[in-house]
Amino acid sequence: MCTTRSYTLTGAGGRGTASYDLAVPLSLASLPKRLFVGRPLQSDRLGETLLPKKIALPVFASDALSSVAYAPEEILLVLGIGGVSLLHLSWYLAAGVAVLMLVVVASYRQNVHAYPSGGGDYEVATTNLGRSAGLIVASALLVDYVLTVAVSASAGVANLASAFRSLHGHEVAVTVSIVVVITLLNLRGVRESGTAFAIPTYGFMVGVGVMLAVGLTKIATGDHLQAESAGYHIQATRDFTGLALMVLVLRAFASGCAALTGVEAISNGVPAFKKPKSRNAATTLALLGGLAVTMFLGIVALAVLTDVHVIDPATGGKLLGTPPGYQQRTVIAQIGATVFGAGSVPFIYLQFVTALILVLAANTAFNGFPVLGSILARDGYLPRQLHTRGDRLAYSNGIVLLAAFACLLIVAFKASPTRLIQLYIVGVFVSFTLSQSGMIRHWNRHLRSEADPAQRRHMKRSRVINSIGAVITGTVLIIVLFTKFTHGAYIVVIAMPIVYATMVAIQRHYNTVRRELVPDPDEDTTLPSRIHAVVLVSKIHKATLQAVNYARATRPSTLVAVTVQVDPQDARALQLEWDRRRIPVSLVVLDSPFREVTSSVVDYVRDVRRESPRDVVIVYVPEYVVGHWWEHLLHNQSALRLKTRLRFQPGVMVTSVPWQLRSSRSRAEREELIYAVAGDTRKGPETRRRPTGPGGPPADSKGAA
Amino acid sequence: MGERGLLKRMIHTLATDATDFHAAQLQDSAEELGATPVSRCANRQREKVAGTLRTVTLRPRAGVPALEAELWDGSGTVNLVWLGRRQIAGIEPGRRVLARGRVAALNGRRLMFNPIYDLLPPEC
Repeated sequence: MCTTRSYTLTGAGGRGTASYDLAVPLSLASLPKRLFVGRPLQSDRLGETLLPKKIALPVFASDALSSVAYAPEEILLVLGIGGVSLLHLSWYLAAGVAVLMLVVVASYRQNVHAYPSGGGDYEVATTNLGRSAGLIVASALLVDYVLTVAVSASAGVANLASAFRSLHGHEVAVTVSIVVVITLLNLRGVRESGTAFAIPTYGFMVGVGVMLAVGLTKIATGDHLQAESAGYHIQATRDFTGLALMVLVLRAFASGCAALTGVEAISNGVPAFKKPKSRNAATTLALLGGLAVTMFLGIVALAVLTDVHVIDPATGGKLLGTPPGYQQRTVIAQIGATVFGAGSVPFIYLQFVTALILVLAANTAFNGFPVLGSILARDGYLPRQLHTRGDRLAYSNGIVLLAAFACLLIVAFKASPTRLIQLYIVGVFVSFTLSQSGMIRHWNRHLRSEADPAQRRHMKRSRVINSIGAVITGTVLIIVLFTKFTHGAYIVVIAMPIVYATMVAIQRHYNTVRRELVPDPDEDTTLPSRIHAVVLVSKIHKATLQAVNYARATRPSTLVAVTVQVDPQDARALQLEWDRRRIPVSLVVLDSPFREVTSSVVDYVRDVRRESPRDVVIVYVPEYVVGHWWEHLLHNQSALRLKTRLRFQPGVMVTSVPWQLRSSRSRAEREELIYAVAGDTRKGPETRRRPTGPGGPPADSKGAA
Repeated sequence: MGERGLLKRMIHTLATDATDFHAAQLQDSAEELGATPVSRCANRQREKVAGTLRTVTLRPRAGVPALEAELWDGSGTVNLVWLGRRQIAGIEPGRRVLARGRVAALNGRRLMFNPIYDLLPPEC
């Protein structure tokens, strides 16, 4: 709302000016933007978007926690290719994934303490392993964030479709619209979405917790729980023995590793925590690890105990004995239906919160991607726009970019979580491995200079943890690449180098420009010796006369008005009128043998007599400011061409002298309506202010223009 | 040079053709009239030049009355200045003119004060 502080007191600086610039009529697009994104926040409210632990856990952990909704299913799906007899192996695989999860969490707890700035894996790898390693991590993470959105949203919709059968067949549309909604929430800013996102995450924890407790208790007390698919037989595509069996098991393990994604999100998000940032982040990580492992193991246990049988139709597997029209539900839906009874309130609740948390998992990427993008942009590897905070202090451009790519993937893979998951987690494990290796070097470096024995012991312990992490995640990366390559991971293997090469190219460009612009040690600071002003005139009207007056007021060394003779009669009439009005400026009439305005003027400006090489020429171009887009087509076209051409002339400045047409004024009034806020009417016209310019003359003068 | 050079030359030719052609035309007709190319006019010499008026400047009423026009003959430009007059019928942009007078060089510009002039018919 309107603050009573004056503009100077808020000290909003450069960013603040950017926000009140919005008061200038910009485009009709701003009405929907205000509606969906909300009013712009001042820069000094940046600090308020920090997260306490109880909100940070759901915001950052929703990804890791939600993957328990599909990771067990992926293990069962892959094992199912080899038939029912392999399903008992899921115990071992689940245990393996759980151990891996604990190792990774332990390793990342070291990271958040050592690198609390939010650079996460990217910073760790850059600092310790060099620029290239950092960029590999960055490209891996960027690709994986996009996949997180695509996989989570798709899996969420799959779960929703398990509860509400009418959604079947519309998955793509529903998934894309969900991504759009998340995007809008995030454009509003992290904190608001954080609060909104906390409830479903906790709801999911409660739902799964109750389901596990009730289910396991029932089984322990002798109830014979059987899933709806327990009676159907999985037809193995072929017999798996020896090496083929091992590959299949490893592939199932690799799919199960999807449960690990999202752990790195916290290490990228440390600055968003309340102080003490590192400790809070580490605690949240530990909580996350404990919860994820418990839920993951619990779901696998229940799935095995209740004999859930699922198949992946894409691999040619078949369920035998199914009733006609059988639509396979997700594993979590089958367990829920078994424990609570299909269609019961707890079942609907479970499916609903599962879908919700999966959707929110996508949100984790919306927290991570823009921050990483902004760090990369700051370092010059991505376009600088990604480093700009939007109206609501979120990195708007990064958010939009992420959503666009995710939607592309969702449409391309028809919102199938099983197909998308093949692409997934390669990137995460690349960054896990590199960042853990980086951490080993980090400790080595610090051990060289550390004398305090207590500190040394601590560092040595951390180094052991990170070493274990590096070896294990490295091994898993090889397994994942090896088993998933032909199933879709190759796309990521292609995409990552492309992202990498793009970032290197962008940085090279920025560096070239920067080198070109570095001032010489004896850079000339002398002023231009003379200014030759040229006012362009096509007709004598208000806009032209205003431009002439403005030009005269700047007191240039020489001043001429220039017109191009396209039609001799018009030119003569113009000269007469010029003379009659006694305008005290010489009028130069240019011949244009080819009736072409632009080159005549450009030639004239180039040849303006300069008495010194340091002379500069100012070209004043009167322009209309119009209120409608179509009016742009009717006006200013030659001015636009001229400006474009003149920009290539050294020592020439082009000054645009705007003349506001009536249509532009009515548009400014329309914009005024858009900026109206609730309560304006009651306050009356006197106190009415745009929300961004709380008093202060700058905003007022802008508004009057 | 090579292929790219050829392509570049072709584009260049297409782009500048009109102006170059015009310049060549002007030089030819100036030669026919027995005029000196502007680029070869010597300082402080009486010369005869012929070309088109590229710009004509109307000075404001306040100040010294003078009419200034820039004559271009394809080889260079000379500024014709008629002192004491603000306008002369027929001296307008695009007009072909034959001018005789003494050439003065000032700050790298060629000037001809109060030249004797003939208005020529448009080229065919």
